[in-house]
Amino acid sequence: MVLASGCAVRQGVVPGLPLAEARALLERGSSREARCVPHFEQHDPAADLDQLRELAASCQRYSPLVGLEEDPEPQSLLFDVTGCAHLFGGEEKLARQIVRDFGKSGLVACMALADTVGAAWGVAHFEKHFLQAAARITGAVSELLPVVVPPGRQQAALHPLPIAALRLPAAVVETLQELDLGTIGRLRALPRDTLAPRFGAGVARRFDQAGGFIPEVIVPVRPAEPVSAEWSFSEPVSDRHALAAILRILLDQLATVLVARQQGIQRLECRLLCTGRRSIDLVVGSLRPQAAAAHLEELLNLRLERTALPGEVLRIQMQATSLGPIEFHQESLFEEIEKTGQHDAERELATLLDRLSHRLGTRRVLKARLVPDPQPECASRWEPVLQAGEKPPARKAAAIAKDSAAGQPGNLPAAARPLWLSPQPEPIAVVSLVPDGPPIRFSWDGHDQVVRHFWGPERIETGWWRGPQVGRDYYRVETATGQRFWLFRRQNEGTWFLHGVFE
Amino acid sequence: MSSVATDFQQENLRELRERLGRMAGRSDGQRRRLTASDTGIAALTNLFPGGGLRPGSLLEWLSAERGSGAGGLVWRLLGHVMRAAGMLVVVDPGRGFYPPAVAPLGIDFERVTVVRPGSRADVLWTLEQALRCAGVSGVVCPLEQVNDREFRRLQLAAEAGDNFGMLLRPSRMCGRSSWADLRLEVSPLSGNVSEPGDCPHFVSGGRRLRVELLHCRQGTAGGVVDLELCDATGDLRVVPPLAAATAVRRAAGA
Repeated sequence: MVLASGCAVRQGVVPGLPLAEARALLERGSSREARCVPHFEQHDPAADLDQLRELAASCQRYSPLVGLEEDPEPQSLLFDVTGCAHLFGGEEKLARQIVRDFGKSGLVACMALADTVGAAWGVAHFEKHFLQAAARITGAVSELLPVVVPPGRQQAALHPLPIAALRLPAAVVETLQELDLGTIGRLRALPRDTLAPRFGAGVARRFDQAGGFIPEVIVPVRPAEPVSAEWSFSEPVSDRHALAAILRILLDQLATVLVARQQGIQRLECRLLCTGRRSIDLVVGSLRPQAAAAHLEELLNLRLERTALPGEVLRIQMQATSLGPIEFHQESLFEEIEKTGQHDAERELATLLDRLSHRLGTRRVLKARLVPDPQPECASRWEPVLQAGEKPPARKAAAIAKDSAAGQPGNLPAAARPLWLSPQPEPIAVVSLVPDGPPIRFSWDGHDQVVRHFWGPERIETGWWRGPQVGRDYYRVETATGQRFWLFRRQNEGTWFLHGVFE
Repeated sequence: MSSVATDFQQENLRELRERLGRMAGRSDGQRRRLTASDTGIAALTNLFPGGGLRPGSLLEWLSAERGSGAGGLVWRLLGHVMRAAGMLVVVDPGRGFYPPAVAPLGIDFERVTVVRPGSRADVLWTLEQALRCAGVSGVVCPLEQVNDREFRRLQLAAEAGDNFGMLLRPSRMCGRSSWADLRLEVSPLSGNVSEPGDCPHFVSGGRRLRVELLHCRQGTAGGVVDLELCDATGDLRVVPPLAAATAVRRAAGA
């Protein structure tokens, strides 16, 4: 357990607890607290880092220098607001503005502003009212007042704070606490020159950084430069061949920029601005980052040929909105032909899936996922192969894999489910010898069918909490002509439906 | 200048690879193994010319009525074929393909892509694209109307991509000309359900199907094999022949 919500903490779940224990605690607790339904997410440091980087990039409006803290798993953003505060009406107002804006996006920020990075970090993590808020951890906390340490007062602000506020490793903090050096004030009482020989260079460095004796650099997170190209026509153009030629020129321009960066395009947005202030957006995505202009041109043309233009085109704007590193594999003369063929085959497959998705639409090129659901029409789920040109995040991919594994039917016989399932069960007329008995004859698709063998009933019911209750008795039937069908009778009404065909 | 040098290097590399390939006994353009692969059941393997399923062939599976079992048989063959690398493309214009039906066959859904074209033209385009792709191992599609030129294009695409194309068609198309490498008819047999003792399960028994080779491009048509699909396990086996009446009489001492 890495992190837990306030509701979970109230039930005794703390970070560091084994997952099984946390599960047991929450299951016991959820019966008491009906609102709390436990939800578990797999810890994914890489995804967290990506999110934090995105957040840092979005904070460029407050300062041109926004970076992440120096840590393998950073959790704090560092702002250099030198010379920026007057634009917001002072430091206090700037800090409040940032906290308010974070609050609007659902984030609670503990923020401190000081002369040094170390002092700001220490205050933001260990100032009393932040700690109290963290201990409460309730959904009611929407905004915490930021702390602004006046210029030159960082030593006084650090004085009462615990030694951990110096960003030291846990083992070092423990040692210092054993030596009764629990606060920064006590450490400060020792001669500064003796800190490095006694406790190591790390302690001295952090102490000096917090006090402002040595500088500390913030490495800024820079948002990637947008890769875009544009073309303005001198006269409005409606000829599709001319448009295709210009698209190729723009793609070549993008490719020239990206080749130098060793990056490829994974999602491309192309806007055609037409007469009458109307515009049309063509968005293409690719399973793999594509550096080849020819492939992207083909995808764009597939989109273009199925799009009605609202007027003559005046301008074309093209922007690569998602980029990724190009995969290279070294060519070898003596590489086995099979292996070379495999690389080619994988590349060809990615190209095929891109092509199918762009001509037919992403909702028509799908992957199946099994879902452990008793209701037949809910036992599989469809997902587009091309998720708008983006790879699913690792967290989602793991969840999908788990779902699919869970969806594998356990002891279901091979012939228990039909190969073709009707999107809507079709009502049919059935003759039975006894009420609620098996079918003897039925009529479907204009043909009378005589049932020679049947298997069942297989009763499938769903809970009332899922919406309209489903109660069905399924029969696999074989007709006199050897065809096999999947029929069911609604338990309440006794009406019959054909749901599938064993093709 | 540098691009000229690169082209020259590429040309040299290609030439050397060709020479290596010739030394290793492979012909130019041969990308994957072209030997016929086993179907998993000897009787069916023997039915196909060349002793199995040959990559790059188009197979036409005819059945008189829906629910006759041709689809189930094709999927069992595909389950066997999918042991090799590659994606399986299911072209499903009717939106009725139901994945839980094939899950017990051990199909890895990560390697199955289902395409749902909206028109007949899109179905044919999808089929051709998928058959031509080297990253695909097999394509399965229900297909009713197809003219000669379209059929020939599909056959050439399958040949170019070394893929299996499984086309499920109604028997009334039997009179039409075909470019498929094999045309097979699947029909349910009377006495369809075997004895419960043969396959102990609550959905006991199996489904008996007759597979007849109506036409083949390289080999002799006319072969027939009776198969049984086990309902419980999905296994495929040859229907055991009935004991000869004379043997029964001799055993009884008559």
